[in-house]
Amino acid sequence: MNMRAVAAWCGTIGQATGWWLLGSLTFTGKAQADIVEGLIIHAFADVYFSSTTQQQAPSGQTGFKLGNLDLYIAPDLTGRVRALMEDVVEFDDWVPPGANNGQPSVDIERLQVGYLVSDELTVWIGRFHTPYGYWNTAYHHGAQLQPTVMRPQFIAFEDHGGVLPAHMDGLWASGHVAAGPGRITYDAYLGNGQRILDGALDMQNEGNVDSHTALGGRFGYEFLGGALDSLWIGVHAFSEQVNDFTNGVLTAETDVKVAGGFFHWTPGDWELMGEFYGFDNRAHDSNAPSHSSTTWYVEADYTFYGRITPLARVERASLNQNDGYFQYLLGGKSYTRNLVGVRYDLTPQTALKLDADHTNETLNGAKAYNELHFQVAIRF
Amino acid sequence: MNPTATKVLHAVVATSALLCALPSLALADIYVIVNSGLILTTDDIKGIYTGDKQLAGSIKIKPLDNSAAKNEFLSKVLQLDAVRYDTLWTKKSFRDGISPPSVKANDEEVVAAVKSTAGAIGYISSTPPVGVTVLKKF
Repeated sequence: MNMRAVAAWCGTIGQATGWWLLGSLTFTGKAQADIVEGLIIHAFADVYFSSTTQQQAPSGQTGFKLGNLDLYIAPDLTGRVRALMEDVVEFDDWVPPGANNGQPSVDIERLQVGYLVSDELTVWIGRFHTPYGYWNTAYHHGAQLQPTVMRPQFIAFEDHGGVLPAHMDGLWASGHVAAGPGRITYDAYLGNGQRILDGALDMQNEGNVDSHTALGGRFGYEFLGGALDSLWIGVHAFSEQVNDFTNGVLTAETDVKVAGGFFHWTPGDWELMGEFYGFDNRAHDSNAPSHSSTTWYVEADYTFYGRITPLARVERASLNQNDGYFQYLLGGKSYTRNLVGVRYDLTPQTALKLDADHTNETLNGAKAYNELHFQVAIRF
Repeated sequence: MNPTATKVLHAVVATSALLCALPSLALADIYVIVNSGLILTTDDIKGIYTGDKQLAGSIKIKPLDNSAAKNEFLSKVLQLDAVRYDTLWTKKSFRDGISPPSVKANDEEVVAAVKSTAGAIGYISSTPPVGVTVLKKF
């Protein structure tokens, strides 16, 4: 192990130890005196082994890997004010070839402060998980929660090859209203427009440099009771102008428009979900025709004895390479992926997961490859 | 008395004894109690303990869990087991930033907290003392 790798491990362990000590002090304080009533620090963490037949894989080579150390705090503030903070220590991959130096980084995943206007409406400001589809807000960095080891590739995080903005800096209104046998759910948001920096989406945490505003929303209906109990179906859409900068040079300006739908349902021991996104992107200030692209996945799993969950997922992405948006994103390539796996819940807080997938990227002159992932994921 | 009549008599006695014993075998009664200033309906209880209802008018609701009576409450009122309930709150906290109910150790602690805390709601398995508002008995 070279010195750089040792330094990386030491850095990660040091940061993890620091967070652990912070958590320990917090809990100690609560045990001795109820001074910090309501302050709860939770965490997700995962480690895994990956094997791939892909050469120069942007997500790394075969071997043992550290996943995320995700810590989040949702303090019980007085009155109607709410807050949610989430930090992640992770190893960035999907960076430009040769730039992955194995150094861990700390990302502020979420830093949002909200106001509970009513049971039907909460308004947030800050950085939040962009509310589209099901997966992005339901699981995100909570590896122990999600059924599989890996997210669907096209909704991976921005720095892991995803083609959708997983995070947003801005304003977010969220809530639900009782209606019929269930309730209407809604999310509406606006925020800093994204840009592409050297192949990855950047949500502009330090200000809207490009002065482009992202607008979007998610509207759905959740059945509560009856034959369709737990079924949540809905639509989502967003639009923004995304500029690409390669080596600091503006290379493309694209008006991105996305619309689609999603569902999630847990009838009995089944879990069924799917998401669809249709893109209609056009070069900004251009009379050129727009470019259409689509992505989708469907996934099904069934839990035996409350803890053994075999699953299968199909992913498809047909991304137009004449589109300036996909042309410059490292993960903006068409692909097909078929995945099977099994999850075993060793305890309610510990999951062992095994996924195997076959991915075909030959549509864009790349190649097909197979991957195997084994993950241990915990929450506490 | 012939043998057949004796068997029938024994069966009747045994069945009667079993029926008399059933109430003591059943789960304990659960009383959902609220702070005197909190106006709720019984339909609100499930929403409060699953994080969907947080306000009663202008008052922020403060639900309390009772370790000593939690399993009975979850079974009778929410139709959930402890694992599913804890997982529900893990997801709720992670996704929506809502804190799970504060945990009290027993009936006495819950009663004290409900009496002294505006917006508090809790549940106990013993008969509520005088001065406590009972929302519903399960």
